[in-house]
Amino acid sequence: MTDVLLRADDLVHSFPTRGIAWHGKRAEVRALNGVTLSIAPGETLAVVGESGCGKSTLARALVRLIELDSGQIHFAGEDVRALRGDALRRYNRRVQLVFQDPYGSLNPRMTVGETLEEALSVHRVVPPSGASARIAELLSLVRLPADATQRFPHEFSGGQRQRIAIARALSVQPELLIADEIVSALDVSVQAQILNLLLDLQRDLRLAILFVSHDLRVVRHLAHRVAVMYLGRIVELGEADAVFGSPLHPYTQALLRAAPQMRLGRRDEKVALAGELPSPLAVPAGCPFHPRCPLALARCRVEMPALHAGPDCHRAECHLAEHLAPMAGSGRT
Amino acid sequence: MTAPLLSVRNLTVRIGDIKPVEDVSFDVSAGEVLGVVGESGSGKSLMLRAILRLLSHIAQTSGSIAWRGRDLATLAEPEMRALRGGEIAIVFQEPMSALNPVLTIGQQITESLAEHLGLRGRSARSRAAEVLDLVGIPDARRRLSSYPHEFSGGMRQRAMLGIALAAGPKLLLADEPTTALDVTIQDQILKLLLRLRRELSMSVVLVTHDLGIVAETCDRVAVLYSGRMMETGPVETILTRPAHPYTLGLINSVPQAKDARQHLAAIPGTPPDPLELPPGCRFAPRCFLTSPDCTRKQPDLRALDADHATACLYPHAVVRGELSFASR
Repeated sequence: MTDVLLRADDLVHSFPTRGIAWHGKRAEVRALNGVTLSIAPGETLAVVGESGCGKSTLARALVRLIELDSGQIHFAGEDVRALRGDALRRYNRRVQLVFQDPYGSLNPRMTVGETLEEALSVHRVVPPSGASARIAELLSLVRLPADATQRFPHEFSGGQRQRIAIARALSVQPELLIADEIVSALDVSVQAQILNLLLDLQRDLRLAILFVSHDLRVVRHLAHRVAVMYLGRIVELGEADAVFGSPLHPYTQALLRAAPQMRLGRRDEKVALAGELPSPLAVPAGCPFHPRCPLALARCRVEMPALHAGPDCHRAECHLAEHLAPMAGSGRT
Repeated sequence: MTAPLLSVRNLTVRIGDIKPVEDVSFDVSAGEVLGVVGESGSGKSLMLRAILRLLSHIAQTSGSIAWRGRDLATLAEPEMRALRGGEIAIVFQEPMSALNPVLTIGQQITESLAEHLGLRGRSARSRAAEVLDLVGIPDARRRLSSYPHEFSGGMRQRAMLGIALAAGPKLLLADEPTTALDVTIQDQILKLLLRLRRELSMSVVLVTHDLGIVAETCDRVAVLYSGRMMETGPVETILTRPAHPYTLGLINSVPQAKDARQHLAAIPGTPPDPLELPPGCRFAPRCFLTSPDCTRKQPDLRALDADHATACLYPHAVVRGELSFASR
């Protein structure tokens, strides 16, 4: 077993719905329904899924922006859910979250210099005398001009703003960066620049990255390992080459077929997956994917599938996984 | 060769001192899907709205828009009204803001049927149910009395397509119709669009920022950058032998499995500020081929062969792949 930086076991989180409580109980949305994963130092683990699958809730729960109902998080041997005070602050320095929308996550009234300085002083990473040198270093790390310190967020483009948000996260020398859809709002040419930057940062700083995204092409590009989420559960997890090359779960197979590819003449193929995501208020019994699954058996409607473990820690939650031929020839682009 | 259905020449949209769309020309033939690709600010959505004269009065449009022998740029407003949603329909990215939240889906379809086909009452209702059925909404007759908020995102986009297609248009203008949708729902809507195009033999102009969608759905492509057309041609030519550095840069920016965890040959910099356009070619400051001629004047779109045209002065250097963007 390789060393583990962060390990999450059986995370469960429900949101109460708004509105009337029936019989004294409110309906609940199970955003996380037993999520287990681990991240090694210097590794990129991508969490991919469609809207409502719980991937952003997972990102927030890991930095304790959301308190879980149950489950365990361990970071470098410490029990994260038990951390208080200084210990929690130290954890929040070592694990940094970057959001999708850099318009919303940067203070519009603070210059870039002030934003970075604040992060440095809160966590007392460098003495005040060393702050300006560190800020210059950070800006060059994310390839922003040195005079950016004097400017405000609105003076930058979306891609540059995302660089500022990344610089702020890196300012406190985290060991794990949790990136929640950080390239989703960017144009493709700018997105490519940020992907290159993330690859460099990871190589130079030996940073672990939990990369949350709905974009399979971007995930394929960055990830060492991939977790596929559906309705609050990880339905498949494995090395990126295995998950993309020979997916075990019918949902992963459908996602890969549905994703647009740079390939001509696929227009007459059949729809990859019929039906829509069920409401998270009414998660189907048995395997939650069974109403949309093209292969569902009677058993799938009643019995939650156990984890099927394939070679190289490639696992999937499907009754059929051990019989299912991996989707052949899916060496996709 | 038959005359094109829609023929746009030198279309320019001016808003105050800026021209978000400048000198754009293209044709759409019967039954074809034309993809319009560009990043934010490239003018692709404005261009689509300008065709149907949907821009507010502060935007001044010039150029000609020939539709089956008539010039839409000079058509009287009542005739234009009859055309919108009649022969030419449009769908938008955000179905929730394009649908009327206080009318049922059925009312919104029958409105179009009354306006364009003169159908009313029971015949309108049964035609409306047919339309919803056509776009793949289950239990169509009952769903006519649903309101937009009762539909999921994918169902709303289907309903919007239904409203657009109610009067049997010859041309559908689709502005990023799947951008807000999840990937499995996007796949359903794109396949639906292609099926409808075939069954109703209509043409489609599909505005998108996703080259993967272009590769899978379009016959021809037009690439816009900062309001100007940079390159146009058949989808296969554009994606395999691009003759403009911007097109090449866009293609290189899409991650490919074989290059996983490698640097992408990304385009450096960002698109120009429309108030401070660079002299000459607008892409020159980000380009790897720039010569003094590039900054002298904006190169016009030049034909390379019958159906492939580029606005680059050095298309052959791009095609031969001698130079490219650095991988960093």
